[in-house]
Amino acid sequence: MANVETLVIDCLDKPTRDINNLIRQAADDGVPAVEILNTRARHNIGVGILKPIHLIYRGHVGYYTVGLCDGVTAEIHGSSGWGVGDNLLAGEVVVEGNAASSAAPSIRGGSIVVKGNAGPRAGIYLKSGDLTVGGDAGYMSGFMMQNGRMIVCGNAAKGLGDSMYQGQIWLGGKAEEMGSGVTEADAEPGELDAVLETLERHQIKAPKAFRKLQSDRSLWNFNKHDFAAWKDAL
Amino acid sequence: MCGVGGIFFKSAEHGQKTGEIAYRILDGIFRRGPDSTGVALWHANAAGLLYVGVNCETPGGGAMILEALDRLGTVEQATDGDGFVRAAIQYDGSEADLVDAIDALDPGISVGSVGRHLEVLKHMGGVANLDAAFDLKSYDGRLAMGLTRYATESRIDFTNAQPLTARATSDLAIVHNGHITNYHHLRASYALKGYEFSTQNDSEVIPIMLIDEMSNGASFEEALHISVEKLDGCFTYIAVTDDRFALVKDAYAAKPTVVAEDDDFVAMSSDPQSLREGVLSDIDVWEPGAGEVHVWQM
Repeated sequence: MANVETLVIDCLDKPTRDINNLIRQAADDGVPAVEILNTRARHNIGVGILKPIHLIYRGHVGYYTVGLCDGVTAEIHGSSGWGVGDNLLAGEVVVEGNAASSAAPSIRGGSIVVKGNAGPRAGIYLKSGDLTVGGDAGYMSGFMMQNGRMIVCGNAAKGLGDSMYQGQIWLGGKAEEMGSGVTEADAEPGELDAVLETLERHQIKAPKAFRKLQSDRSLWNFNKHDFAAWKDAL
Repeated sequence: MCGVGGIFFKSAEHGQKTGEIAYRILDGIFRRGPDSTGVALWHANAAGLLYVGVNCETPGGGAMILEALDRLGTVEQATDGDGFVRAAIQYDGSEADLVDAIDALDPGISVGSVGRHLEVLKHMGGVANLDAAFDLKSYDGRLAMGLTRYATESRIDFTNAQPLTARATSDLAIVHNGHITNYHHLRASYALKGYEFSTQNDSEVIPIMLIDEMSNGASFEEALHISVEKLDGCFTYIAVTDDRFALVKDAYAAKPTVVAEDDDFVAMSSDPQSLREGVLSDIDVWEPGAGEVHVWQM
């Protein structure tokens, strides 16, 4: 949390580029944390930060918050717009509210936690790392997921995990409709404990049970005899 | 891209001015659509006026339009916005006849909208131009929903600017962000049924489709659901009638829109920042999901 060493940046009247340069400079100077005020759903705040630093967003944020970052940790005291944590390499982002479309797109590592609901395409193209959603996930969440782990404590809309290659989706509620090429699998020893530990660490109430979903590999190779399945896959 | 957004007040008595909020919301989504800006306004219309908006691609055609309107009825208020004429007239005849009479004036002149409660205003460029021409900020009625246009498939001019209506059928206007990919097929089928298209804009098929479905017995809400099934492509559109308005999203949720609602108002915008700048509050917003239809009664 904020302490005396925290740099405070007020976004009012500051261009986005200046805000990001201030954060980058703070990271270079070894400042442990930056508190960001008056975010007012501004886009691209805290983008391209490649050195460890802790970001505290006081309010709602816009698109691509904590995008293209490495080793950054962040707490967002509000809701986020599209693409929160885009392409994160390592670190942790916690959204206290809801996240709009495409939360944690293409992340290659680290962890993104959305305590509320996530919009459509949450965890799209997840390459590694963790996406945890405390509430529901929208349409086509986990689309073309390539690796990593997605936890959805609530329900998922249509197309969950459509065309996923690898990785796991842990679903607490119901899926309105499963995506193409997704199947239910048995949990390996310790996997469920790790899921529950993640939820506990973020004080997210765990659902009664989880189902583990993964790719059935039917879309890995094209087979003309399975044309119907391909036609169905988006 | 394009941006859609606007504000609805639940009561005629409200704090901030409707036009000023709509101005800020549309200004906030200017970069999503710098080509033209338009807005649909709702009027209580105690005086029984007819609100007419006329596209005028012919330079200097405004005088001709106003003269014709005065011949058809009595012009109570009018502004020649140099490309788009707004007028409020006393008129008791058929709205279809009025549309035909104005359209016949010149090939560059066409009626954009007629309404007993809805008025459409359009201008090129950003909302500042719209305000300079028609004083949007002074509007203080209950609803203003608009669009900033990034033209893709049709000309950047007043005729193809939005909001779009089904013209002679008054009091239905839409603003649409997206692209209707089966537009040509749909347009051909509605043209065969006798519907007249006045623009080359793919979005025009939306009000025509809604009118057609409602004339087949569907309620407004049912027609909106049918449109989600029948329209291909990506879309978020706002439809406004004399007593309702709705937000409709395609089956893929491909276009962003956020909504904020409290005891006093419903605000929406393609961009959360524009919405919050519009209502001057860090209000919580939510994003409707894929294929969802949300209707509000005025």
